[in-house]
Amino acid sequence: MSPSRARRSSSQGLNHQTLEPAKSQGLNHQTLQPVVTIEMARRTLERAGAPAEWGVTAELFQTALERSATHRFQAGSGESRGRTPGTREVEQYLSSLNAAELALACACAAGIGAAWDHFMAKFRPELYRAAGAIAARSGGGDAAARDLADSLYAELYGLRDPEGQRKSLLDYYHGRSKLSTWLHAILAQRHVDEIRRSRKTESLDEPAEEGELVNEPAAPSSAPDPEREGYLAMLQAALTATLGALPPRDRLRMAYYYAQDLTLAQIGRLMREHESTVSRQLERTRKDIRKAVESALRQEKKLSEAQLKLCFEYAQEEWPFDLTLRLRSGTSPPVVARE
Amino acid sequence: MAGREEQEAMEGLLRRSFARESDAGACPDAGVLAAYFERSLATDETSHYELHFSQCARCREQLAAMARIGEAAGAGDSATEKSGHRTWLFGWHWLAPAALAMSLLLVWFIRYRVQTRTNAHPWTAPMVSMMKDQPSAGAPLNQPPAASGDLALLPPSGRVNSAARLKSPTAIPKKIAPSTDAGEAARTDVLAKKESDQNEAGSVARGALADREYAQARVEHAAGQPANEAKATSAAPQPSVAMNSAPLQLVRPAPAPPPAPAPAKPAETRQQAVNGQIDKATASSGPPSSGAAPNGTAGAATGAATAPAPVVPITTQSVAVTESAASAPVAATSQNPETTSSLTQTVIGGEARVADGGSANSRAAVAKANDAQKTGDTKSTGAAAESVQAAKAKESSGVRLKNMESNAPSAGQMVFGSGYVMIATPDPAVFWRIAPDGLVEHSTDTGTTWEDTQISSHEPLLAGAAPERNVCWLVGRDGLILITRDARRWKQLEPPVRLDIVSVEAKDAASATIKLADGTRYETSDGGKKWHAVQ
Repeated sequence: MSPSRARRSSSQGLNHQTLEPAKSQGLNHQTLQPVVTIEMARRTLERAGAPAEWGVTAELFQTALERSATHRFQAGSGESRGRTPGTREVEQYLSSLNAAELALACACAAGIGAAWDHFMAKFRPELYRAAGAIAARSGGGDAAARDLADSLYAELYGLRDPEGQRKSLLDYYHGRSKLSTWLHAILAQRHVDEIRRSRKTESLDEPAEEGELVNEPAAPSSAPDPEREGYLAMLQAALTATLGALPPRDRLRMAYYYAQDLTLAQIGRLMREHESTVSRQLERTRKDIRKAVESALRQEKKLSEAQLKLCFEYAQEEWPFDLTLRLRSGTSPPVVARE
Repeated sequence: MAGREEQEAMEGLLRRSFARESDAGACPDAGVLAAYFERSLATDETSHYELHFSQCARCREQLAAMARIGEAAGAGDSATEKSGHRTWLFGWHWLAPAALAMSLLLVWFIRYRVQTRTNAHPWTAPMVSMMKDQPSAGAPLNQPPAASGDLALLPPSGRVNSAARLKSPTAIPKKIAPSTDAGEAARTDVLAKKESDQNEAGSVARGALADREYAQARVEHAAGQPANEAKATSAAPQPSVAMNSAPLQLVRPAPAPPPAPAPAKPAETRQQAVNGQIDKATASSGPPSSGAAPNGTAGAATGAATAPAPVVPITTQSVAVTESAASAPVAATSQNPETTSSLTQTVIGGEARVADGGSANSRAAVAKANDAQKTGDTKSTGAAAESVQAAKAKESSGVRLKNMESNAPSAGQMVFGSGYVMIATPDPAVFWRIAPDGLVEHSTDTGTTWEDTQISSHEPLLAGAAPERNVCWLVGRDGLILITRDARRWKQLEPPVRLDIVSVEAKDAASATIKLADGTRYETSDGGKKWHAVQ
């Protein structure tokens, strides 16, 4: 793969001036204290068992490990954010890394041919397969899949920045996951960002009426209730408040199901739950939401049972369960939502 | 307001609420996403990022994409595992001795039974005479030969069945597994089965590649009544007048073959009321057109117009999906005239209706099959069917048949070009079709042009039925049921269970029967508000 095939579109998620992934948390290496010693790096490199022809030195590996540890402890999230970890903590962290693949990424980013050959042999089919799975979902064929995969190669191989310094996307692999999973994440990020960009472009270029949904709400059979808008507003507000108060995992599960339209199996995979557990949890959460909404409307808005039923009737008429709002590609519904 | 409607309202509200959600900002990079996906983040990190993901549509979309990649990978692995399992099961080192033992046992059993009855075989005669001569001998000798023989010759329970099972691959597809809905005991039971299936097979496939391997809809192709088969119309375009009295559908009963009493029962079990009633309707309406004369269409129209309109309810049945081409020739060469004719019928219907074209060879073969069918020449029909199938198999676009049950016969499988699932309506010009990518399209000009219905479901649609011009039912995975009553607006119905629905039969916009992947049927008469299990 030659750099001449590089696609220098900054819209692909890389700022080519800094080669930093878009929307990522920036790292300021000048202010952070080093946490990985050369000895730690040597031990970890030995554990990695990198072939000699990759030419990964302890110093090179130390730089990669330092970057990884800094990302985890000082620029990451959670309790350890912003503090300098102890030696034991760092060693535990280093022992949890995928050292062999981190060494490979180091060598590839440094431009070592043997390492790159190994990377291509091992991960190119995987990249194509993953791109194919993504592209197929959005209606693309093999060509689209290859384009998606090929767009990564140049950046993985490394580009020269304006200062002539080699920068590779593999510098941002920190070894906390398998390299293949990381590549999947990169592909998914690119794909989703591209779809969202095109979606926003279409919504600006095309009037909303062109995407007019064939499902139109049924006209109410009786004269419209003058308080209809009020009921709908109350219902929506109660629901929004209830959703906001949900535990994160419950909300995440519901969002996967209702926004991303994932199957129970897919949700289970993401949340490390069995499908039956996902199903039960979704049902429980739905019931909880329903109870919370009804309780809020009864107690806070003092609605009667009849008024409560009217709320739901209006809701069904106003916002019918509209299939055309579902995405074709598994991404969020259009920004211009149908009202 | 009924409970179901309230549920629908809540569903719509929830979807709308999450659909309006925007990004949360400060999204984590790919490294964090990957580590989260692999569960290699620390506990505090996981909680932090899950809170972010619960509020950020962008991150969820990325994770969803990763889940689909992983699922597609899992499908490949499970396929490899499955083939490995099958290879082991069919290993010669295990199967051959077992088969030999069973054969010997069977032969011995048969011979002994014959000899016991006739007492004529030379090698049993001494035994019999000895038993007769020594009536006071030990208990076994006093026992009636037949009884002892029966007890002795009965194979160990289950062994024959086990062998038989070995020969027929697992019928229930793994794809039944995923979708359940808590709170229903039936689904819980199915879940237990699904869990064992899933543990055995690996993760469930998803996506275009996985869908192909996945359990798809299978149409139970009605055999049709022998008396009506000769008069059954083909799936060739029918005049609108004839179609009003006898709704055209792609699934037509097999015509022509001589009636056989033996298959009547299995034919009936396979036959749905659908086609039988349609056959009766068409029979009462008069002879079909089917190109009987150069202007046969007109003749049929006349005949149909003058016949009294049938009173019997007319239903339409849904379709199946694709299958590997390897199995298609088997269907064509089957000696079962019923299946051959079915395939012929289907192919003719496919050729006549599908607008995606076919080779000249296949069309010529179709015409030849039509002629054979008209003359009632069963042999020619069968031969023509084979030629049709051979011609179709050669086409580059390929005619692919797929069956949910790997051991299912060719009958009931529909032939469509390039993986499209075609759904005919009583109006010969109006069709729906489910594209391979899941889009649903509508044509009102006999398939010349297609309009995107704007339906997009992440659960694959597996089958459909269109009992009226503007009414169409669609069913699919995870309990997906869609209906339109005006050919424009679609509504999703609450299923009786959230399991894969593989076929649907509909009488009208209110009455329909769905069939799940496990064979369970549910019917509704109120447009899907309530479903009742069919015994």
